[in-house]
Amino acid sequence: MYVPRDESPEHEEQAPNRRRRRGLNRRQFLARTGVLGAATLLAPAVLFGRRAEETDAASLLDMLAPVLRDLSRDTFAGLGAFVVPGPDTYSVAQGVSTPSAGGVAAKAPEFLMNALDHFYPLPDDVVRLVVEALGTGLSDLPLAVPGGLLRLPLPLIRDLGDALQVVLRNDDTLPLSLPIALMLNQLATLTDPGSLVGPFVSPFANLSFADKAAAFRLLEEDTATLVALIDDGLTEPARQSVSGLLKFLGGALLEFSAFGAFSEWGVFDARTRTLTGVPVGWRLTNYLASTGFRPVEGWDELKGYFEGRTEVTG
Amino acid sequence: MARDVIVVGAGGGGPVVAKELAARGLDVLLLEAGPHYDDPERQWTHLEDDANNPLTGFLRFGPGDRSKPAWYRETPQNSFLWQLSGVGGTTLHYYGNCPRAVPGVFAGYEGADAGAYDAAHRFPFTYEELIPYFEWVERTLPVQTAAMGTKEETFFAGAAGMGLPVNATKHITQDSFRPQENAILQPSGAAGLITETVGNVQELAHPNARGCTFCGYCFQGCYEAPGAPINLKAKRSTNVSYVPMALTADRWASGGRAVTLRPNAFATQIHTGTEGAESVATAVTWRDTATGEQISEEARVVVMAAGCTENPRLWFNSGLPDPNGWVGRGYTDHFFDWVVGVFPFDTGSSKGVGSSARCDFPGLGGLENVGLPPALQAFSLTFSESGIQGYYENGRGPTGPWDGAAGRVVGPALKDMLSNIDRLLNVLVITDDDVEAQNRVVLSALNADEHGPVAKVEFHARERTARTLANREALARRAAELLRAAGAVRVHRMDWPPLILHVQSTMRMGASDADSVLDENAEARWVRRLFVADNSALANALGGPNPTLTSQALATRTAERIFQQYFGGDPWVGAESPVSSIDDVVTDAVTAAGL
Repeated sequence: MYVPRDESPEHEEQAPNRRRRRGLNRRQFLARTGVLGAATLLAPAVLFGRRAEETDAASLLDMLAPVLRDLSRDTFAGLGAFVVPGPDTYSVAQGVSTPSAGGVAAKAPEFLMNALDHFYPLPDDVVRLVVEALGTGLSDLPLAVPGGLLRLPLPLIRDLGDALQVVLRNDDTLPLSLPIALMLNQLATLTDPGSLVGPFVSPFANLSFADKAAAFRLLEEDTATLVALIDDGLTEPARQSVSGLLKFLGGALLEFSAFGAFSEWGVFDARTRTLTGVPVGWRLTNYLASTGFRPVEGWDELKGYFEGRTEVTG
Repeated sequence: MARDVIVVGAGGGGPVVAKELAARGLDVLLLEAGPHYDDPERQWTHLEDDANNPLTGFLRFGPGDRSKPAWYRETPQNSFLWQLSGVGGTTLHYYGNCPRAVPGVFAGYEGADAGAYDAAHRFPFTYEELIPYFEWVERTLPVQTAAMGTKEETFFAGAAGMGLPVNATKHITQDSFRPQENAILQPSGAAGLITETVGNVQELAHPNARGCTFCGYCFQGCYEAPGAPINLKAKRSTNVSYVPMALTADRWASGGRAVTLRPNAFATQIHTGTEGAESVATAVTWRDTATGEQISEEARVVVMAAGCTENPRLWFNSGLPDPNGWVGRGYTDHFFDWVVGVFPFDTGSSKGVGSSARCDFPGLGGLENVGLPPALQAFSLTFSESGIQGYYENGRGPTGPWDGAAGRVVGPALKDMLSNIDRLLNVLVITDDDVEAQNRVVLSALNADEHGPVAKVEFHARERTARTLANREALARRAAELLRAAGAVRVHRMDWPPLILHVQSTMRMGASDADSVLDENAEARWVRRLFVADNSALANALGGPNPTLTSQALATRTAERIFQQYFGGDPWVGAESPVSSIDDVVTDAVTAAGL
């Protein structure tokens, strides 16, 4: 599962040089979260042709923002396809797809991101702690970073790392979906280091169906290495809260992907509070099929009273 | 000028105290943290995400302004806490089921099965003492015997197939099955007889249709039948029963006085003073969630009814005493489980009343059927403590008379199971669970919001008492047997983690001052003039019956105690007849008041 250190293609960076070592850890951290892969999608001119005044982390941050949004969306699409597969590319890539529409078509990824980013009042601090603690915990488990992700030079890696720190530490602007997506991607690389390579920038989305289940197993099971890794990087009272939060998230991400996929959210017009189409989940479940997929105020469903009894006393 | 009484919380219990004391002429202020949906027919929809999304829905725990985030509670384990803010509280999405508590959980019970219950945490008075209060609430709501839909016929066939006898009383004394006694106005006129089409909308509107129209949307909040006055809506959530009565007490009760209702008022502090050698409640401060303004009012008596999670939080944030450490402890939740059958015939699972059939097993708990629309059904099938079926079991994965190991249903298996929602039948396992100190509410060390440190709710599902765990296993097996007997071709057990939805006993009353917060009058042991009147006051998990009726009966008794002890009045239950919330005098009062 893990690549021995001396087989790492980055072995030249493993010299006993603190700066180089930190660069290695940063590159690995960025790779595991999916941010490194996402960053390589930026135009070379952006990455390598920046003017001197643009080399600060803040400006890189602006450039990264849409890329990080895409990374999150990619990750949650991988999750939506896992819980409710369909014919979409995410389902096909995981090796389990179905002819009928699934969670991606039902907009389950957008549903989760919207809820997390705008309505879930969890202090961002807690999830940031998870991502950073995971980064620390995983740094002793070197990863073979594929060639495509090695072309970014160390100074840029440092800037990217700094930019991500800024993103993660800014409570006012951090969309909660991002650290959760980064965490899922970290779990993905722990489950299968090969997930760094695939059709998507998100390692989680690159996993097979069975490996996605394995990634959730890491989140859920009491004895998971993950909890120990994270706990080692934390002090009380954060330790217990973070461990508990992971178990909670392990469930909630699956449950609310399912809820979103089978709800009307994807075709709900919030302004008029009406539907713009038939929800995917209604067709999948044959719900309201007999009314033309229209909620009704009543059904001819009264079957009388058991044993004819309409009242009991005493 | 001090109020007579301030009630904190307009959920299942607070409005009962408010209405009863307003009918006696007291000046009552009723605070509610969430919004007041006073015209649900126009403010709500039947859509699941719009209604039930716990973060964004109109039935959420959060402020009335839905563009703002929900309010947070920390749950440091796999679990889901599903409570609501808003006038009506969690009764807005309840199913209206009103079984009485099991006699074995009360003091003085000497039945042959006395040892089968949580004997260490009984109510500090007898079942017989509470019966007049049950009857008072049953007539006020009112509670009626539920009619059947297809899913109830299916459930009853299974229960009869197991050889269970029928219970034709309101008492739970033996293993048996029956239609629910529920707080739903049974159908009359066209209700239940016709399906709405574009051309017959008026036929299903009040007064052509009255009571339950079998629409299938209990969990989304009830506003049936369309056009009915607010006090004649089918499901008797307190927003359509006790609250309208409280707001019009001056009109229907001789000598009554209308309650002042303040929604969007989040209580943040109970103030105390001294009276002789005793600490007494004197005032309440709340925050207006719309303006941020902090407001305080004094009262001669304060009643906490903010729920099992928020009452302890408010207590701790107010710095009130907790000498025995039991504030917030003893949280019971009926340790639900969920067993689902797939049938080769139509069960009507998405139609009709949410749940109109039940089995009772005194000493173990009970079972009831539950119908759901698709998104909640999907949630219910992915909620498990046993991992993902076929992939990992999270150290559990129990096997039994269901198919395969318990666990989440994910991927193609989920789509397959949900391929026809009206061929499912859900059975909710309602465990008679023990009061345990380890299951509790504390303040979160990490998280605070504009109302102070938030609540952290700890449940230790795997370390519950042997009796609780054994009860749950026995009931899960019976649920599977019932589904098989009803004709299910496939049965799946979920092994739910705590779904904290039937909530009880975090501010429990008890006979012993070593493990209870309230005395036998529901008054706080260490702060006089401070009462608790919601599910948190219950001494235990009632033996498994759904808690609202017992909580409302106890709240009625508490209102009497307050009136006797601090206002020099006489008790009325037993001496008078209650006015039903659907009586013409209330309808007239509600109409005249423009509600």
